[in-house]
Amino acid sequence: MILSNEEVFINGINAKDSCFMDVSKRVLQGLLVSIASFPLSLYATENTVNLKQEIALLKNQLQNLEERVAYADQSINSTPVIATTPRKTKITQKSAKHNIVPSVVKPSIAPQPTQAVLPPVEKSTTPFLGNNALLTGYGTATYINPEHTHGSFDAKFNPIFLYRYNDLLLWESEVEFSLNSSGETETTLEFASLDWFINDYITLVAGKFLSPLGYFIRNLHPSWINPLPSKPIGFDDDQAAPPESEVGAQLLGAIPISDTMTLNYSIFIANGPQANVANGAVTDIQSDGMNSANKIYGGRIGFLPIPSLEVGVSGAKSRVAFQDSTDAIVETSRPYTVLGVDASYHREALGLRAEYIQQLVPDDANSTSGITQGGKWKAWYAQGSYRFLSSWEAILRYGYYSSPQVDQKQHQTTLGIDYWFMDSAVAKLAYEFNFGQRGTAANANRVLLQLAYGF
Amino acid sequence: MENRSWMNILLFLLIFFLTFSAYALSGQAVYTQSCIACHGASGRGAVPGAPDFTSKNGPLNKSDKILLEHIINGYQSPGSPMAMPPKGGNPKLTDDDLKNSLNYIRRKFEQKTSMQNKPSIKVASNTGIVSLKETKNLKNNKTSTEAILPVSPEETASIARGAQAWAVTCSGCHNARSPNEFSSEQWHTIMQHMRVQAHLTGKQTRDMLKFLQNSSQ
Repeated sequence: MILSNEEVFINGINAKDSCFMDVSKRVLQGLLVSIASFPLSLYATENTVNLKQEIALLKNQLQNLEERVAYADQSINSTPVIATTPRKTKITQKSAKHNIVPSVVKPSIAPQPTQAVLPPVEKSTTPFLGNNALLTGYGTATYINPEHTHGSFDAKFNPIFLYRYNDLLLWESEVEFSLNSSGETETTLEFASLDWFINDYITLVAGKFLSPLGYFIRNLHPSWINPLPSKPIGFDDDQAAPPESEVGAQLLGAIPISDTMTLNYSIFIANGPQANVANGAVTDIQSDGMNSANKIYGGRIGFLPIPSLEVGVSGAKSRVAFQDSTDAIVETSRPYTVLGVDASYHREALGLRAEYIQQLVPDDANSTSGITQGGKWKAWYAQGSYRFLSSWEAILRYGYYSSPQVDQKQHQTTLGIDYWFMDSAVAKLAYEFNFGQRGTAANANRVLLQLAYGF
Repeated sequence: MENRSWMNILLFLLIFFLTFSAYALSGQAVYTQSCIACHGASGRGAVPGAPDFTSKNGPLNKSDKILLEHIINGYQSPGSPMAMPPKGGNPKLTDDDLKNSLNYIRRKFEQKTSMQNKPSIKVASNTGIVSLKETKNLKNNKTSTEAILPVSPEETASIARGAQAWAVTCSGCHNARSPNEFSSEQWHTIMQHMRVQAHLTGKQTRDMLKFLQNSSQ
């Protein structure tokens, strides 16, 4: 006898026969369990699929992370590992009275020390050079308008190439592409050296390097660093109060004296200087390592009592050769000395700098070339700068330069204002008040505009 | 130079100055330039001691008034090995810049407290235990995974020294470059170059490199 649906309801069945009721009850119970467990079976199936997908995802992520950790171990000191045993996960089911929600017991997490997120490993942006090479540098566009004459535009490009071998060696080089007065491109090797990091306090630099004498030429001359469009008077390429570069070898480094005090040093030996002579007098001096017959010995010591204040003393000694207009050497060995002092201080928005440097070739009454007079090239400047309104900077600089050429003697006051687009890109506007010999370029005021970008 | 040309230049300068003087940096610009080195692009902190902005119990629970005081005057979180310098070490920032940056921080990172964070799961790796932190954005349903390695006290101190040296030593010659400007590998080469240019000791170089690599994104 087939029972109707109503007759099988648990709370509505009236059994007429006990045996039949037993069977009916069992069938009914079986049906109820099947119906009740049907959604559970579906849920379990779905959850299994989700778990499989999650495990696959974790496997992929683990593989990626293992590669990143292996890379981090190579490049950063190994970090200690917290050894914990991951617990097994288990699925539990709650009573049928409640919603059947399987839960995953998460493994407990042991307390960890201060953590830092490992930066992602990125591919080098210059893949053809490899991860140890870097092409950087700066570019400059300038407009100069002197009094009583027309203004002119100028451009320079200074690529810097660096190549590192671990933390042991570094090749560094800079080339300057500039325009001469005829608009032709001139190429100058600014520096090219191989640096050997002997230990934490000594580095050997061999090749052509920026002169360690003084501070401006070595540290401040790039256009995106110098806040004014022009170099201090006497520090420019054709004035050469300080030596610009040396070809030789130097040892440099720093020695910490205390938590705040540091002493830095540079000592070098290089090819000596050469002076040009005309009409029985020294006209200019070339100190970028052209005279291999004489060597120059010198260096600089800098003292930082606190990190924001530095005072330096520079000196060098050599013998200079005299060369006439036909490139003939007319005198081989006249004494030559360099002396300089520099100071810099910065605090928050304020920056102060000052530097004095001179090159001296003494007179010689017994000169075999007949050039009895020597020459003294000296320059000094003092500069103050102040940042305001986040991106603006005001600069005031006073400078003085003198050389054996009377028409080059000059005082200069420069007012400037900069707008910084970012930390290494700047627009500069400056006005120079120049006081020199009347009728010469040394006496002409100038307006200068410049865009500079360090990349 | 003629007086008229001078007048034109001065007039241009005056207009240029007035235009930019009324312009405060956007909050995002301030954060990217001055805050991200220590607080990270994720807001969870890129150097030891930097708080987690996304944490439910983090500093964003404080009022704007208190947070602005911390930013302007400097603040050291309890237990942190280093203090945040006044204005994040950038004295050029104005009060408006700082308010904009705080608004940006709240807007960008407070949202993430509503994100579903799965607890960290420890997974064995070849070199040790790597913690995975998965974060799921409820708005776009995207999941991101970060690897978190434990840092030793020595490394913590090194990063802290490097951050201080970056803020002070670099400023001796030029504006300190943002850690996000270069990749980790590029910073390694750059710092060797700067070791020569700036007469840094090997230890100073390593400390600054640790900080820059830890902060670069």
